[in-house]
Amino acid sequence: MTREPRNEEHPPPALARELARLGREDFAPGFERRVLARLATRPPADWTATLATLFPRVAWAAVAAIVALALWNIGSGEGGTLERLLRLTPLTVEASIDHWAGL
Amino acid sequence: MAKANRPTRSDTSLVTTEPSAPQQPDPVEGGLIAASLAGDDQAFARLVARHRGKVAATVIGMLGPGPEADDVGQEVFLQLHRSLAGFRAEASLGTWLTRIAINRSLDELRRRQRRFGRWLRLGSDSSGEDWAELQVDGEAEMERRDRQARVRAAVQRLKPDWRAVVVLRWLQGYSTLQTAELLGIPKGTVLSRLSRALDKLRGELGELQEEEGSP
Repeated sequence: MTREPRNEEHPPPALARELARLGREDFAPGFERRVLARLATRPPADWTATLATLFPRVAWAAVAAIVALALWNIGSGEGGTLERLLRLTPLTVEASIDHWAGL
Repeated sequence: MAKANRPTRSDTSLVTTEPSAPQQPDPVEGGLIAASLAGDDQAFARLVARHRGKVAATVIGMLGPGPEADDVGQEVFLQLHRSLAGFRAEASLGTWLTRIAINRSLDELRRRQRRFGRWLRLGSDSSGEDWAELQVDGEAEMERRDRQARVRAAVQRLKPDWRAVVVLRWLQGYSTLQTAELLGIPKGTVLSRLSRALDKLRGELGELQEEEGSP
């Protein structure tokens, strides 16, 4: 049993009784059924949780990929991979394909 | 005043504070947790039934009766379902649920305050009486219901932080130390909040200071 501090104030008996009565209030009947129904319709919440879990990993993977490409690009000098990717606008797609194909 | 089945310790594997006292594992509860983890919904429903009273007392004490309290109560048990795999059998499930219930209720009160401002709190004295659809039989019963509604409204008007200690200490019957552990605050803070809350309740419910022999 936890020891109570000496200077704790207590409500008068009538108020204490009413407060204790409030502590016996319950949910409306069928509460368990409502909980189970929400469990059955939980996928959206799961998706949110999954996305929230995955997001940092995806973000870090994207950052790592960009850094890797940048390093590769630096190592490749002019015309490196990142530079080529950044040039992939509709106007340069054909030229890029020709370049990659060695034409 | 305290409920007969109140928890005697406040720690679980899912919370941060250390237990106040050891507790014997409940084999029935352990079996229900295992069955729930295996996908047995009826076992989980029995777990809900075992602990709904504690969660209801906390959530309704904090938010008042009504659909919002019901909704928060459901979320507490959904969180339990998600956390079952990490739950230690020797821990007190009831106390863990109470902690989740009080935290979710405080979150809901903050949301309400952000959304609607102070006027909502001032205007919510009915505390769900309409929703409860009370059936009143006789004058004495009417008086009892009226007294209970006034006490509930007075509790609802307390600041959320004060209300939390009142709900845990005087509605649920936790000790001051357990209340402090559940809320993650010093025992002295619990005592000072109880004292201020009591002053306010006395001011609003003066007639209950002398009244005796109520049903």
